[in-house]
Parts: sequence; structure tokens; C-alpha cells
Amino acid sequence: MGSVGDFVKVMSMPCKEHAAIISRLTSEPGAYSGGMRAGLWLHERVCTGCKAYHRQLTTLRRGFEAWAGAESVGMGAGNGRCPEGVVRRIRERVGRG
Amino acid sequence: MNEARAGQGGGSGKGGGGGSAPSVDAWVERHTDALWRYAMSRVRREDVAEELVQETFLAAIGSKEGFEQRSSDLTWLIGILRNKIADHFRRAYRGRGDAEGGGAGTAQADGDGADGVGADVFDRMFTSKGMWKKEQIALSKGSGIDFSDRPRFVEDLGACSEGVPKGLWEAFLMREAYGVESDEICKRLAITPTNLWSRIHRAKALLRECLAGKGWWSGNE
Repeated sequence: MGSVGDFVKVMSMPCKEHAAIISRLTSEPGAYSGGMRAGLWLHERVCTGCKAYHRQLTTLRRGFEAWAGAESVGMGAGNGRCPEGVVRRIRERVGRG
Repeated sequence: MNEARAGQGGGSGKGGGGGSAPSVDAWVERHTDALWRYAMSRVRREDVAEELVQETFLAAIGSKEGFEQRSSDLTWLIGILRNKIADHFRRAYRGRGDAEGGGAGTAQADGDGADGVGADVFDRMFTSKGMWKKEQIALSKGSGIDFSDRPRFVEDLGACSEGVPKGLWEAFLMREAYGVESDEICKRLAITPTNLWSRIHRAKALLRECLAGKGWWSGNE
């Protein structure tokens, strides 16, 4: 009965609330009940915006995981240089190490 | 010194030359800028980035014999730094007031843009009735991107991350990239679960919006 209630509740929400649920689900897949996930799934069958948002956030997460684990230095790291004072301290400490 | 560091720009030269194991001095000269940029792009705090880069070099010294030169020395150092960054974010909160523990987040808990830039990014996607605005619907064509074939997507994502305010970024990064538990993040940042998820939702919405500005999601990518 709880699941049915959750299902109905989700189906009656505006898309703004669906978007928040989608965002949470892409971070924590187990965050909501089966009823809520079923309601969201059904809603996404008829709502282009929510369906796209879900796919975009899933893509964003996968892309972000790739970025966070990237071995490439250039990915969003900019072109800044390490300040001279920092380089000096690093050299001193590493030299001692 | 400047000349020695000039023109390295994230390059990934092999070793210190001659096929032998590179000297630590050579590593510092060659790769400090690249490691610094990598660390700063993730932790966004100079004192923490400095500490992490130092720790990386010290760890490299300790395991220099294990460097087999199958990859470039920079790639190897980045691998060490990446683990150091993950440790930094995952380090258990012990209620300390020093920069490593509480300072990592509490100082920015109520500032640094957490409640400023991006505060309305979520709201502005919707009408007053909570429905998607038309221009948002228009972004639905290209929602599925095979980013593994799209290094530019990951590159743009990294660039867009620089526009996410620090207060949002820290919460987002800990949760999304390093898998820190929500309760732990709330303790470290001294925020409520509701506030945590609000920050994460806003960070995602900002990244999505920025990527849209770079031409993603339009269906033409």
C-alpha cells in the first residue's frame, strides 16, 4: 500500500520535483522506494523533459567519473602555473624527504 | 628556474633522460606545474594542493624503485596524486579544528557561493507551475552521449566544473567523485542532508547548463 501511495504521489508531482528525484537517484540509486521509482519511470514515458534530464544527468555522472579519474592533466585543469613560493617549499621539503 | 619550468605545460616526457630512473629534482622541475594544476582543479585550495603535491613527490621517492617506466613518469605521478586526492576527501572526520579535518569544509559551509551563484539555477529551468520551460525541452534531443568516444565532452565537463561555486563543488565532488557517504559530508561541511542535496542538485544543474552553452544536448553533437 505504501508503494502504491508513493506511486500516486510521484505521478501527481510537478516536473520540478521529479527533477530533484532524478538528480538524487543518479547519485543514490536506492534512495527511493520501488513505488516512487515506478511512478517516475511511468512519468518519464510521457514527459520528454524529465526523460531527457534523467539521461543527461546519467551521462553527466559517467562523464564526471571519467574526469575525476582522468590521468590527463589537461582536463579542465587550466594552464596555471604553480606559484614560485610553493615550488620553492615543495623543492625544499622533497629535498629533505 | 623559470626556464627550467617553462614550456612543460602538462607534457608527459619520459623519465629524466638516458633511460635510467629519473631524479627527484628532475621530477620537481618538470612536473610540479602539471601536478599543481591537477590538484587545484579538484581541491581548489592552494594550501591543500601544495600539501598533496608534496606528498605525491615524497610517496614517489619512497616507491621510486617500483616505477617501471612502462608509462610516462608524469602519468605515474598523477596516479599517485589521484590517490592522495581521494584520501583527502575520504579522510574520516574527527572533529578536529585543523585545516585537514573540519577546515576542509566548515569554513566554506555558509559562504563561498554555496548560497550565492547557482542558487536559482534549478528554479530557472521551470515555470512557476513547476513544469519544464520550452527552452529546456529543446535540450532533450541530444541527451544521450557516448562520452567514451567524446573526449571533448569530458574536457568541457572539466572546464565547466570551474564555474561551480566552491561550496557546491566540495559537496558534489565528495559525493559524486569520491563516494563519501552523505552523513559524512554533512558532518564535514556542517550542513543538513536537505542542504547537501540542494547543493548537489544545483551543481548538476549548473554543469548541465554550462554544457548546453558549449553545444551539448542540442542533438548536433
